[in-house]
Amino acid sequence: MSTVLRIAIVAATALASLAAGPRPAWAQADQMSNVQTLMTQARTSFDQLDYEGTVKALDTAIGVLEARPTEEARKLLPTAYEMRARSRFGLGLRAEAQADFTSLLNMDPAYALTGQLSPRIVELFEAVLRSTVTQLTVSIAPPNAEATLDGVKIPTSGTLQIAVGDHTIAASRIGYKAASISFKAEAGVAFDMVQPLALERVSSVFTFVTSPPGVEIVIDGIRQGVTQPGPPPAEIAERAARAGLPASQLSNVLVVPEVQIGTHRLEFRKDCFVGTERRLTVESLDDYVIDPIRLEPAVATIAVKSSQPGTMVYLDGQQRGVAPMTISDVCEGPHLVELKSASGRHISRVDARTGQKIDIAGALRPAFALVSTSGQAALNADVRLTIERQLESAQSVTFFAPPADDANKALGTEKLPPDWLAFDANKRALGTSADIGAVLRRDLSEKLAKVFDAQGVASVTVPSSLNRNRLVVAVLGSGSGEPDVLEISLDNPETVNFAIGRLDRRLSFFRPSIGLTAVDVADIEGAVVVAVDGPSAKAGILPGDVVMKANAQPVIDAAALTTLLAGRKADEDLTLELKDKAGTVKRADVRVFMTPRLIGMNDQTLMVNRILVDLRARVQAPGDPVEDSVMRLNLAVALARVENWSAARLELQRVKLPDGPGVSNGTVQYLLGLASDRMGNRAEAEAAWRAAAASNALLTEDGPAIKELADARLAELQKRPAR
Amino acid sequence: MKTLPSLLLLVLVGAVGSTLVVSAQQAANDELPRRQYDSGLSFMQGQRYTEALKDFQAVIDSFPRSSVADNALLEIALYQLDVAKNIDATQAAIDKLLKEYPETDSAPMGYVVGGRLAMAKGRTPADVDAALASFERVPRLFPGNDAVPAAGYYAGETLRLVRRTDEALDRYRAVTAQFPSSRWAGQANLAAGYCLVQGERAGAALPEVQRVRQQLPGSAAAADALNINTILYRLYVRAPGQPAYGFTGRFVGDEKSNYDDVVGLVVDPANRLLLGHKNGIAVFDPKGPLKTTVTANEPSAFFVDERGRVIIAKNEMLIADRAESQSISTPLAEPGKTRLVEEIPSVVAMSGGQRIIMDRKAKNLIRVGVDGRYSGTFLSNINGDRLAINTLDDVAVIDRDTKAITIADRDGKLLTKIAAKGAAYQFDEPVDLTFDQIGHLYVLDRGNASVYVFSPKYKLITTFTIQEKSPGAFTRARALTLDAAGRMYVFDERAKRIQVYQ
Repeated sequence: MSTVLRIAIVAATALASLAAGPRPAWAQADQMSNVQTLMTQARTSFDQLDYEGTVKALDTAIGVLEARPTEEARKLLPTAYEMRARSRFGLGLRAEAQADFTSLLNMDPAYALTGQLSPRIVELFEAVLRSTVTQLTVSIAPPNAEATLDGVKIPTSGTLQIAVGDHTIAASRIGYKAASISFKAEAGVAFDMVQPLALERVSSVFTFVTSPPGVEIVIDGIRQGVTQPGPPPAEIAERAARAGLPASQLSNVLVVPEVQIGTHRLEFRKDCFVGTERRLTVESLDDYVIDPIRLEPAVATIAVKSSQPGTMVYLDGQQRGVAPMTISDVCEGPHLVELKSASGRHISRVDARTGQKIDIAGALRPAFALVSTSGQAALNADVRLTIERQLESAQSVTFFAPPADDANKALGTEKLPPDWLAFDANKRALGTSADIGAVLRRDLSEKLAKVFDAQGVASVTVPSSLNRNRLVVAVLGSGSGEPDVLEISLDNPETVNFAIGRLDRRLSFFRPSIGLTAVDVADIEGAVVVAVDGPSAKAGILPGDVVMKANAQPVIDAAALTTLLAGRKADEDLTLELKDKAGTVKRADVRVFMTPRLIGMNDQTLMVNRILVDLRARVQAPGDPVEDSVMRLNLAVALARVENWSAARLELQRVKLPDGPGVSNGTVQYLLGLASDRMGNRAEAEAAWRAAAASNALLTEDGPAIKELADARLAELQKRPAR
Repeated sequence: MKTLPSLLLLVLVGAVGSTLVVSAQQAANDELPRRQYDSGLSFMQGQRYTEALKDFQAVIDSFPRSSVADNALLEIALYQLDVAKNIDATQAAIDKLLKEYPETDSAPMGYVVGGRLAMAKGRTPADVDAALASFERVPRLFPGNDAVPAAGYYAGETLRLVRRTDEALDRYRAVTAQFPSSRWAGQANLAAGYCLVQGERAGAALPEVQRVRQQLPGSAAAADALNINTILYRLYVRAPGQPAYGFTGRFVGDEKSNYDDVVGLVVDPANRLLLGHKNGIAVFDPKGPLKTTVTANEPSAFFVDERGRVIIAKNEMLIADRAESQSISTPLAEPGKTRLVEEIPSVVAMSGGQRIIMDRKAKNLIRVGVDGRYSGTFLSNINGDRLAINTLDDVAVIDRDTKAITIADRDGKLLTKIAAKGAAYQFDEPVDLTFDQIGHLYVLDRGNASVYVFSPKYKLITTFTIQEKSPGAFTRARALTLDAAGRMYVFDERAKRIQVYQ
């Protein structure tokens, strides 16, 4: 392809691009690329003395560059004009060459021709120069002002070559009022600014650097900005170095203009650093470079211990490690310290002070996340936080309020309104809660508890707008479909204490026994025996005997015997002194054994959701097999109470208790029958109830007899049609 | 980071503060009605019922929107039901409570009182259904309310009173299982013990009742439990291997006091011992000394009414201790004609206030109201002597002709008869009888110098006899009574005093 043809193609492309009008940035970049190609081709043609080719390429290139007055175009145009002027001159086109030189000097009055030049060209150029360019002597005060000539930056003093014609000199500087001057430059006449352009000072200017960067600067209570990472200018860095501050720790400068005469209060703040302030009096308007501001770290140390191994420690939601651990860079201010394990959580809200050492001995307890609030709560108050604080002294469980955004997000994910778990003190479902059944609630409690790494969830309801101090907390263990409710009146501390008392009600799952049932009888001092089994029967104690002493301590009634037994441990020996029906005194040696206890299947006074999470935590740490079995048995009852029969059945299948009186294998079989029946497994239920009916077990330590219950279930089963 | 929590705290404090202000205003508006309500409660506790009712009514009339108006209405309903036994007034108060205060704290207990009211009206199947429905509304409408165990307990009571004992037991057990630490659980344990005894399961009743003493030590229910278990121990644990009773060596009354023509022996609710004789009623304090005497010349019988007053029967009159008397008459076949009941050998008062009177001349037991008006024949054709009544209002009467004991229910329907001769016993001269609080019947046989104890199903459980010439022997016994713990008091004409057995 010939050079001319190539130029034609490139030129056509460039012109087509130009004709298409304004283009996006990528299109403009493409155009400049074409111009560069044209310039290269023009240079090649020029060097080969192919002036026609040169002019053709440059016509296109200059057309593009003149249409695009960018910085890059400004750099390329003078060369393009010069090359085309010389080519045109070579082609005998003197007038066109003169026009190119004129355009060149208008653009760059200080332009000098380069390379080997014919004297005729030089002569033409200088002739154009004389008619196009003159001199300007600039004088602007202050000398560090920003000066421009027709928008192009110029020094504030000295002599410049300028094109003949109208010009404007402008100057500005922070702290000064901007000013400008316009004039007409004539050929052959140098323009000298006899009167310097002096800017008027209107305010002072403060310049700051800080160590570290990121310091918020406040003047007279108005925030001025935050220092950005450095380094600062060298002169300021040197000044700071003299004050012992290495440049690497410095911020860049922050300039604050518009400071007026007077005394000013300067405050310097940064989280986790000790804030400082200064007073500075400005007596005259000037530039003030403030000595580098250095802030000292404001940190406390938090030492965390946990009651459980492997506990994860979180500071303000960020995982920091495993307890025991010390966090030494805790910024001054309020913080949330959380200790979490699979079975519980401890939260401490601390207000750290600089230099303080805070010890947190976390007793991990099963935790309920307060996820929702409904009803007409007091204005703007997050009652979840109120409840967290009111119940913080509970010893058995922890209530915590996750950040509101997190709670809302979690509810949103499940498409739940705030009243999804709204109940009144009578445990009546309110609003949307009334439409959510136990099965759905069971799933939701499990999901939401998992979201918050909690063992359960809770809600706060303000049931009546007439008394907004009266709150009802509904509590759901993970996987529970039936809530417990606590009523709290914020203006009545007794209600809080009562609620905590309910939560902290201690349950014992074993009771010391000697296999003896005693009652009180008027006119008889002692505990009157009415039934015996186990060690007491073996020791020859009979119904009608009266226990008068135990280990030589008087037993005045049945309660005294119960109290005396309560302090005994398994396998302790006890010597009883008794009187039989005929009044004969006798002695009996019995050995204490521990008999299992079971929470009431229907006991409405129990906070069964609290018990549920507590027992789940307990069974996670394996211990004595019998103890584990009794815990699992109680856990199964708690699960059954909250309508989670499948989980209850699984727990029951893991329980191993011997046959016998009291809470024993018969109890387990009866409950297994209930769970199987609920799960629709009739055959398994019947088998379990048959086993239960053959036992002399009790449902709880106080009865009723499992045999009666199982017989009733079997009878009911017989009446029920088989599916 | 530092400022946000602080701001939040300020907002929180401010918001709580504003709520407390609202609450303080409510409290101020409530102060006067609350004080008047408290005043009413004080009067009620002091049994100054008229003043109590004035206070309660003032709260309702003047402060109908106060927080205690519903409570005042409930108190009035309870008074009308339990003290005045005024069914219409109770109904009016309950209707108003449930209509005008349906969402208040008193509403659930209002349903409970409504159920009790249905049973006070009668014990027909419809009454029972109405009562049970009212009780069952409480857990349905107010599932977590404190009235739920009360409703459960009274549902059990309803069933117990109509002898549906097994169902009653289930209800009581539900209360003790669901609310083991409530005071209603204590009541339910006691009632469950009663049911077990009716079902001849006294062995199971003992620990059931004892549980009250563990759960509610020091309470009135615990005292009741001690009494019930004392009875059960005596009859089912100590006997039959040992005599149920032994003579304490203790006497009540002075043998020189000439207590002749004894007409009855009663322990009143205050645990005072009352002996009726030809000169009146001698009242002894619980420890034995004579406290007072209600003078009356040759009374034929006496009883203690629902207000604790001694009512003396003499000729055709029932005379209260403050000279308030009622003439008792029965209608004759001829319209408008009546006949005075001239000879009244015994009277008992039912739980609803009605009196059952033995009309010896007509050989009928008749029923009269609290005002003495005849309201019907209770039992016909019986030559009755002494009467006894139990907690179900069953009435037992000694038939002088046959020496048998006839037992009728509260409507006069014959329940059973204890024949004069049965397995292991034969009455010779039954002269008095009484029930203990769990339904055992004690028959004093003067001829055999024995006391026969029958179970609630009227089977002989034990016989108590003291050999003649032994201390405490009662060869010429005239009257018998029991206190709440089943201690036995027998007046013997030879000893001329009351002898105490336990």
